[in-house]
Amino acid sequence: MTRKLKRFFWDKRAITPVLSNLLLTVVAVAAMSIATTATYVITTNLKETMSERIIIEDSWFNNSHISFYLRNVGKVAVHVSAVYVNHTSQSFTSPFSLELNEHDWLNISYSWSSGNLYYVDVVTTRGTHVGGYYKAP
Amino acid sequence: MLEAIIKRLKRDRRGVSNVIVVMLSLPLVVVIVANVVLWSYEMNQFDWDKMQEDIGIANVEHVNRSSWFATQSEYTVNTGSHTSGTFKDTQAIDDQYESFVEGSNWWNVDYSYRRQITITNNMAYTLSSGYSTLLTMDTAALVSSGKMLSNGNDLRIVFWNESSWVEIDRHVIDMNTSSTHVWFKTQTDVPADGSDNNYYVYYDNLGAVSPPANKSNVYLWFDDFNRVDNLDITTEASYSVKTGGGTWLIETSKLKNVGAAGDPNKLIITALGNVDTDIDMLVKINVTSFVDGDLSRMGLSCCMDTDPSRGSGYCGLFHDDRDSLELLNDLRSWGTGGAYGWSLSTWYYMRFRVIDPVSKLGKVKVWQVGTTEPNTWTVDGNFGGGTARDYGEVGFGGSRTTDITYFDDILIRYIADPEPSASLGMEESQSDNRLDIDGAFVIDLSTYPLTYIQTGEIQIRYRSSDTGERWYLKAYNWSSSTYSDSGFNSTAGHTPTKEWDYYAVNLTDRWSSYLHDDGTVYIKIIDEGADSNQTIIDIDFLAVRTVINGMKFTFQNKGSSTSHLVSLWVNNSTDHRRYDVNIFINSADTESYIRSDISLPNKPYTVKVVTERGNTAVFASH
Repeated sequence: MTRKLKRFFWDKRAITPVLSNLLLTVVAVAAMSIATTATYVITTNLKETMSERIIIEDSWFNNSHISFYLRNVGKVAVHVSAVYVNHTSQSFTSPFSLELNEHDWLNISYSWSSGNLYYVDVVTTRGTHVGGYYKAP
Repeated sequence: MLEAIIKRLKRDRRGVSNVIVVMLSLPLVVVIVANVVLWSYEMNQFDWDKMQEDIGIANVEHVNRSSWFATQSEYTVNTGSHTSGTFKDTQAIDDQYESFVEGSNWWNVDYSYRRQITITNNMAYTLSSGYSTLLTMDTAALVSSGKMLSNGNDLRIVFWNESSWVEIDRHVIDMNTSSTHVWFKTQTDVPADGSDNNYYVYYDNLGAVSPPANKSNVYLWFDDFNRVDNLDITTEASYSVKTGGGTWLIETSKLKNVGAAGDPNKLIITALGNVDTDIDMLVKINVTSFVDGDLSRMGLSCCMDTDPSRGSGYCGLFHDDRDSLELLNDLRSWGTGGAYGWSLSTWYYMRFRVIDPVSKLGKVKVWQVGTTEPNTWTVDGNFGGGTARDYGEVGFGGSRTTDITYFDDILIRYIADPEPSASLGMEESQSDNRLDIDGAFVIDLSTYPLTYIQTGEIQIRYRSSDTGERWYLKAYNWSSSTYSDSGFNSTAGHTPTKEWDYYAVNLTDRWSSYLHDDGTVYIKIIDEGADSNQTIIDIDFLAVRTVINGMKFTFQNKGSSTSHLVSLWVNNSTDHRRYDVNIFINSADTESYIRSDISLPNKPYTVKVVTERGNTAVFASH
């Protein structure tokens, strides 16, 4: 038995093919893991981007505010990242997020003038836009 | 072929790795494509459905009445009978009707007359069922007019349990007098300061025999000791414990006590266990041998406990001499005493009562059998300075010396303070016809919240075969637990015609008494009273509605799929108000929706409704 073990450790033939096979296996597994994760991330992001739907239920020009009542009618939670009035970024109560079927007021401090037309654009973190022209009463 | 490919691959390995890479990559590509394509399809479908949706608001108007709420279950016929139709025929004004005919809900046709008994609970808390109630009535007049047997066999007490008749045992005292006492047990609880009129006394049946008169079913406890002699009554399960000395036996259908040394000497009615409410005890007592002195004592006892030994309690006793009646708190203190001269070998009644034992107040009175019970108590005082007792066992008090006492007809009943009263209604004949029906109506409080209801209205469309009898609408008053029209704008009833006629009542500011928290209103239709005409009434419509100050919206779905409305906006220049709604409208359908919590704003205003898919419909006032 001892002689067999000695012979096993002293005989260096065939070690290189074993090592190369092992290395190849590790590389293959790692590559597949990365590919699978990338697939998951890519498809998830694509799905979420496609699933975003929000609507503006109501707009209210009130004192020095413009308020929009947003409703999430999509299949994924949305996070508002920016609000533009006439292509100018406006500050709003951040973070503003809506879970599925959630709805709430989004208030923007803005000195509007009666009778003027405003183009409002609400942008989500995934890049979805919702908005349009609103005429101040 | 396959073998050739495998051989080729074994021989030439250059393409194997390429094949493996392609095979491994393929599932990933398939997953990505499938996921994206399928999800894209689903969202496209979502957008397509949204595009197909076409919702509109046809009208918005102010409303001051809710829609009608008709019954959704069959009417309960208390008196009379149902002849044709169903409750569904009373849900709309369409000449489809349900018919009822007058009759009498009579317990037993052998009895010609009856009078309704109303038991009124005069306490501020519930009177439990099983209470022995006293009805006083003039049977002498009934006997002399031939409506009642002189022995009272046809005097019957019957209870209507809302679905069937139950004849109950009664104890009749002083039959054929102007002040006959009829005792019977209540069958259900009577609410605090409320009443129960489901009891009747029936009479006029010459053939009546063997009325139910088991006093054990009338009182908490009754025993006439009418059984064979027994030298030791404690061998009976109901009287299995005596304390102290002396013997207790049954002799010639009487309970006999021969006293001896011991204290307290009691016979406990073990069948009753601990009696945890106030009671009234009545017994016949006859002392045939009396030694005289402190050890001579006999009577009744209650609130017995084990302190300092079992049988210790409150007592009402003949004591010391033949001129004394006294209250005793066993082994603690003698209480109030009074003078009452009594004789040996003479039967007396002794009544003993303790109301609220903690108060240490007791009452006892004695009067000779065959005489009228005095209105006042011989002793109305306290149990002295000893520590008060609580509720406990009840029984008889025996002598501590060689006295001999007989007891008979022990009667124990619960006692309320103040006691309930029982009153009689008008005499009704079996040939009298009446109709009395109830129905349950449920108002949708999710649409018409209690907060926004101003009052309620009940309306009936009906016709009658008899135009000489008035009809009344009543509702169940949840506060007083009775049907009533108290507070209605009209309590005079309505005289019908043989053609369709409307009758409506307004519940005024008392509406909340008639509307349960869950929106239920019970409505009763009842005739004016008993008469010989067997009237038929046809009911085309009967419903209840609320008076509100709200808005009615009419939505139209012109799209090809069902729409789910989730938001409602009412805006004007000064206010934008949003309301949650949950309305489904089928394709090509029109739906009216009333909200009592929305007031019409000043014009101009806009109303918007938003669907679950994200579409909006707008209505603008002019």
